[in-house]
Amino acid sequence: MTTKTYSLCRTKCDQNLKLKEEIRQLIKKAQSGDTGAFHELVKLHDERVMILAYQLTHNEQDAEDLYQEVFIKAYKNIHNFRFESQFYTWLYRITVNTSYNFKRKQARLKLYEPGNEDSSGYLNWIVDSSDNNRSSKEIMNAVKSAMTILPQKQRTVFILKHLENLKIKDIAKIIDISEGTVKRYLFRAMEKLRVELKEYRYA
Amino acid sequence: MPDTLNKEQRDQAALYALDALSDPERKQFEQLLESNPDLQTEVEEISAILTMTSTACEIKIPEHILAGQRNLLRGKIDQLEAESAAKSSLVTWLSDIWYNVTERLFIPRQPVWAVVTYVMFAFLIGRLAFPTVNTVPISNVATEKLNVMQLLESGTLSSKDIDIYQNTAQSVGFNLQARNDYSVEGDLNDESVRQILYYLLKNDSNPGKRLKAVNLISESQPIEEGRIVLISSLLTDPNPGVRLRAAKSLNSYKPDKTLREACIKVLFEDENEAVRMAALGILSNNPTEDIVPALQIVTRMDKNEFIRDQARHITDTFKGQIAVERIEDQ
Repeated sequence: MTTKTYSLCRTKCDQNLKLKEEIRQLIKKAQSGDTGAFHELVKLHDERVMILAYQLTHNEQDAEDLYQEVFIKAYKNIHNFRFESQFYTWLYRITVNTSYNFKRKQARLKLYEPGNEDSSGYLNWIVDSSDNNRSSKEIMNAVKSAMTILPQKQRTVFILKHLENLKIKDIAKIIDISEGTVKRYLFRAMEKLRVELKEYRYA
Repeated sequence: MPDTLNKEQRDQAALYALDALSDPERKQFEQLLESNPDLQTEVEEISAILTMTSTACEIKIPEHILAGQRNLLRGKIDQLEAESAAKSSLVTWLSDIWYNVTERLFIPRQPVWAVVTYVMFAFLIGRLAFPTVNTVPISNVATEKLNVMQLLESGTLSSKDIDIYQNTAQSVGFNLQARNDYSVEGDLNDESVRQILYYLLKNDSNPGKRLKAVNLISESQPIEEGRIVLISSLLTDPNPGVRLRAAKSLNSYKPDKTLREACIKVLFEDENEAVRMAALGILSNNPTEDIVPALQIVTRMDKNEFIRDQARHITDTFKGQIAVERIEDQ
């Protein structure tokens, strides 16, 4: 490793440490009732929460509702945060649990409200990173439907591992299952996705 | 999928591609991988699927959406704080009473006073433990003496004294603190309920309560009066979260001239990007020729690039429509 690369890594590590310390201070302030500090914490973490919320719900309106519910719960329970895990892991745990409750609630409401499908309309904020040609849209739809076929826990584990890059032990803590079960869910999810996306794999 | 591999090897390949193996497991697998071309094919296939899913699921959320959500959250937390402040003042008041009771009455010097004290004390505890909350269906309220709207309009009751709570998806209740904890309930589409919600949205100083009111109005059936109240809220409410919610609720109404003009005013004057974005969303539902000049200004003047692009998109679509109509005329 050259001196320049080493110093770059070091600067990045220092920045990370600084951010962690800043978050720690904000949490302590929020725990002592400083609402401003809580809003700062929201600002630092809400993009990740919103993305996860969308990935779990596949619906903009639901993702927005989930976002609100997650941060209200975090606000009410921040005094219970014991610094035993990263703050975002704690938020993820709330997001995942809230999304499960949310789904249960929606399943009940669906009996009375037909047509609850995704209404990605004019204000669509989901930006496809690839070009908007027909084949990429086709692949996106195929991936989306393949993901919805996965059972809830397998999908959650797959999202947290592959899309959110979390460690197996963090995922196990978030979903409250063993690391072995996380791995089992992962390769089962992978098996199903392979079957569903077989024809697109070299697209 | 190569047939020569067993289940365990396939599972390991999946976990390897997902970077879910521990360090020793990974090293062991890599040794196996070097000598097994079928396993290499397996890993390549899984990696291809993974690349595809991560590309297809990549999401970027525009800053104005997050800003809007943060504003909404701020409003909700403000309301929570206001509620907890009210509760804590009640706790202080009760602890004062407790102190007075224990100091002056609970340690009486004569037996007669002791009996009187204990009876009074039991009565107080009974009152506190089982408060008599009167719940009256709202339809009865108008016919009885307690007409909430009359009380509000005459100034006898202040909007501060009313707490909103939602029972079910279609039923809403109001706690009237100034009327001995009187509580009234009714259907969300009931005229009296609507009037109270409109009043709270227009007059209450607590942004959290206004947010609750606007949320409930948006859940009720869209009617003309509600539309006017929502437009007024969109144009005048000081809280961007409430304005944003009002704009989103107005999406369920067909845009007429008044609504279009209100949206254009918002596009020109509102400082909040999320609110402007929502107003543009309403205009895009049914664009008419009269909004084109205003949108052309927006395409040049708005600070937000996304809003400028979307406004341009509407005007372009509209130009296309005109062109087609002209061709058809010819």
